[in-house]
Amino acid sequence: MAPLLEVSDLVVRFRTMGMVKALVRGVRDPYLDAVLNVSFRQEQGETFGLVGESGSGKTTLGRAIIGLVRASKGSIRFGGQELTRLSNRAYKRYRRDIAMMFQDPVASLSPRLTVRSLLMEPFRIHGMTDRDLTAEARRLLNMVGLNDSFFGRFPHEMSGGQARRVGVARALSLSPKLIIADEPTAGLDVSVQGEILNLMGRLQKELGLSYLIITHNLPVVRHVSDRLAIMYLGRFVEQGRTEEIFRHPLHPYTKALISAVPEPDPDKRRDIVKLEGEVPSLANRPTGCEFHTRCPFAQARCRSEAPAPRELEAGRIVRCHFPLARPTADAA
Amino acid sequence: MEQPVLAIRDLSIDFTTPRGQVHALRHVSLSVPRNKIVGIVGESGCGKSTLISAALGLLASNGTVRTGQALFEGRDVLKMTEPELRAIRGERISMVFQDPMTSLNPVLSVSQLMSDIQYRHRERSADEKRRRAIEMLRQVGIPDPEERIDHYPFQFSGGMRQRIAIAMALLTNPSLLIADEPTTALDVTLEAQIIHLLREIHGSFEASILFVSHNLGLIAELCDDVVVMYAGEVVEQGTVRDLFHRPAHPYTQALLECDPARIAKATRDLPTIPGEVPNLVQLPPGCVFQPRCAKAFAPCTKAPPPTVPVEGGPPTDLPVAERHAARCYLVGNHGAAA
Amino acid sequence: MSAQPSDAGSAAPAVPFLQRFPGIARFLTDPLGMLGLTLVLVMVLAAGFADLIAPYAPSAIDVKARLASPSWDHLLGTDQLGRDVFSRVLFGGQIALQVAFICIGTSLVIGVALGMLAGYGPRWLDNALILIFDAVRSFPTIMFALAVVTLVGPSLETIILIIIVIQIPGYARIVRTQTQSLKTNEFILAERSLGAGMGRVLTVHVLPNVIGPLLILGSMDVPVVVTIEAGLSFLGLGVRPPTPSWGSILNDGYAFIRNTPWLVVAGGVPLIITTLGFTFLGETLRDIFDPRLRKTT
Repeated sequence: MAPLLEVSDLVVRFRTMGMVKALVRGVRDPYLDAVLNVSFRQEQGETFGLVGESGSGKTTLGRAIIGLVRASKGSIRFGGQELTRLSNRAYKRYRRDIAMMFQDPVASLSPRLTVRSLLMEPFRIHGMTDRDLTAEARRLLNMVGLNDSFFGRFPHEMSGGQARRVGVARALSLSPKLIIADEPTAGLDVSVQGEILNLMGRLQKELGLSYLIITHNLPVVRHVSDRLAIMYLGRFVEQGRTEEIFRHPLHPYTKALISAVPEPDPDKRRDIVKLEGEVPSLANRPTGCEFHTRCPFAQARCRSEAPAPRELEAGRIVRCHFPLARPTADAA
Repeated sequence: MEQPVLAIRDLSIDFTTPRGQVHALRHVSLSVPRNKIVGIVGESGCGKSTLISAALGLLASNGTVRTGQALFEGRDVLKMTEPELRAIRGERISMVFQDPMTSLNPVLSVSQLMSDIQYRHRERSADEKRRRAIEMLRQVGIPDPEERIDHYPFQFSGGMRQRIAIAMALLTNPSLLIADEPTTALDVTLEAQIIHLLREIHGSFEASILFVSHNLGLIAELCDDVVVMYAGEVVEQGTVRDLFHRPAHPYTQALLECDPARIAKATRDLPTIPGEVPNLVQLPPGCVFQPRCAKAFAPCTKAPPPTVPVEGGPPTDLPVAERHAARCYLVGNHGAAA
Repeated sequence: MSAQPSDAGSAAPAVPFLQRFPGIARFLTDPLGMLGLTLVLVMVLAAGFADLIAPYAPSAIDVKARLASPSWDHLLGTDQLGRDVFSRVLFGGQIALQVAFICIGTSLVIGVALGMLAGYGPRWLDNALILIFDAVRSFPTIMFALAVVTLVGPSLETIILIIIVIQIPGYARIVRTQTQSLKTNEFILAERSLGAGMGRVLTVHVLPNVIGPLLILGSMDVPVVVTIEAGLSFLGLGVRPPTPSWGSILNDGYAFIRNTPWLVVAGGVPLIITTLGFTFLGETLRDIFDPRLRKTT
């Protein structure tokens, strides 16, 4: 079956200064590559995680897929249809199949609209006014566990958790096939994170949804995703099945990320910090393998030659000259 | 037994708002011993911000202290005059804030910021202040401190700024460093570095650290003692091992169960604590956690439980007030919590 | 640990009216605000009911009674042609407020539209509009008025046109800045991700969020516009006689200021009252609706 989403060699560049300024300052290449040569596929019904720290490009990638930013090169195929060269008007039709949930749940709701209007907006935008919109809004609210006493509320009158649910309801309004969720648990207390994630999981089973989850929260993504990709400076450095990546990460950055997450157990304190330094700026990309400046295993080759992505085992693609050794015998 | 650096005793604070009296803190007691790292774990609405404001004498004007004291090195901060408070803030008690992007004055260079904070030390010359500042920057891991000290905050990344904030906080050799979610705005690899830095610093300076966080992993990583707060109360306190290995209060237990990092097997059905934090204007009559507690029974709805020592831990010679204790009817004469 | 939705329908608690709209309560207790409101109401009602209140027609000439001092017959005396000054002031108020509302209303509509386009639309459009705005704003008002009047001849319509044109850039710039800052907000991105085009985004999502401060600004511009109109009429560039305008009353009274000062007073005091009233009202409204002061917990 054709994959739901297929991204190939995607590049998203941002201009940092106008032509004239660049000329005057002698800057030859006034661009920042937020996403660089990203390729992956997502199947229907799957939850794919995009994991990375700030500057990794994960949010930009999500926005490129839904068409909020223009792809500079490469292709995004959704249900077989190429999206990157579409005009804004032509893209509109696909915005019914792809929906997005934003990081700040209250800020992503138009502050002067009531919940009812917010839920009716998607229908209005697409001219689907030939139906009882209030009934649709009620249906959507019920799906996320809210009742219509919320109809008259404004975004600032709701808690973060409630606003997030409204965000989910809005994303569901046009029955999308793919929902891109940007940091779905940001700002939520640990004791209630599960609510939104369980809701998303339940909806996935009921409606056959696929999710693209953008996050830097490794413990969460380990539970909710089937496959994931780790991003660094706009590139995928490793992708594969979630369970296997956590069991034996192959890229040093992946391993560093996983071990940087503190374990909630005082007997498991770490004495060494695996990763020093900071993420280099996008304007000053390191040569060769871009991770070499911080990699504890970097060698001469890493400084000069950029590694190509290699499929080291079924479904696991890694960009590294010296991937970490797999344990010889898997733990039971 | 040494006097603790900070001793909060039976502190209750209300805020007057148009909606009524918000009972933000109720009979909170905790102590930060000398040279220890104490963590406060709590989720939104637990009162940790109010607690910190009170400890610094920065309570908002609509806040009233109903009972209790906040003793810093034996003196009640809540009764001090403004000049007395100014003498200790930034000098004996320092603070590191959550957002490194906004907590440093953007129009002053780092050297100016770090010299300013030493203003009370008139005996030091400008050169001396600068020298100390550079040395401090070196200790927190800023590369090329002699040059970079003249840069402005915007020229540093978030992680670097937080290191500068820590350097500034320690420059005056305080007895207490309050760190309020210092790594929440940072990436996880930076977070690990900052926590590691705090542990090292704690070793070389004689400062106690009061570390506030909602991240259980960080608390386990860094703290010696832990206090768990919920809706304005301390529900459990003890050493870090007491809390993580023998949690007695149902809220603490639930919190640990919900943490995705503690769930070994990947699951799509994550545990949660159903319900919401109660309205602090109208509190439930009994235990504040009772409406959401899976283990509630008859006494829980009648009156708030007392703080009771938890049995069953390793022998300790700590005074009773500082042992593992929880505010729950299930603890104490009902034996160790189920 | 069960996983149930935690707030399947907690109803919004019933809150008394004044608590839901704390702004109104604050307004009612602010002395300057209430004073401003009172003055404005007096002016608006007087102007609105000028036909009913005025004892004489504004152009009724009675040369026998020229330059009479204020009396019960003529509350503010008469001018050099024997016209009742009180009636002229009332009808002058009508004109002043009419001009103000037409001008401000029109320039608000055009300014908001252009400002939103400049803030949200493509760079080249923004640059072009800014150029036009700055060009218009750099003309001194009086010079601009003189130039136009020389071309077209003085009249009330001309004044209205002039005032509209010079007011637009001010509003447009403010709306532009606000639109620019809203453009990157998450809720705008969210609506765009749903497929909303520029038109919908601007009318449904940007406009309601920028219009508030603008309405307050508009109300504070009323005295400005009234003063401009009065000034131009005073210079003879505005309304043609015998149409009463506060400015032309001032102009008439100017020549007789030594012996019959009440003409100048009659022309000037309404201006002062209008200015004070609208300014107090506008400032109080602005303070109350300052989003920084409005914080819902």
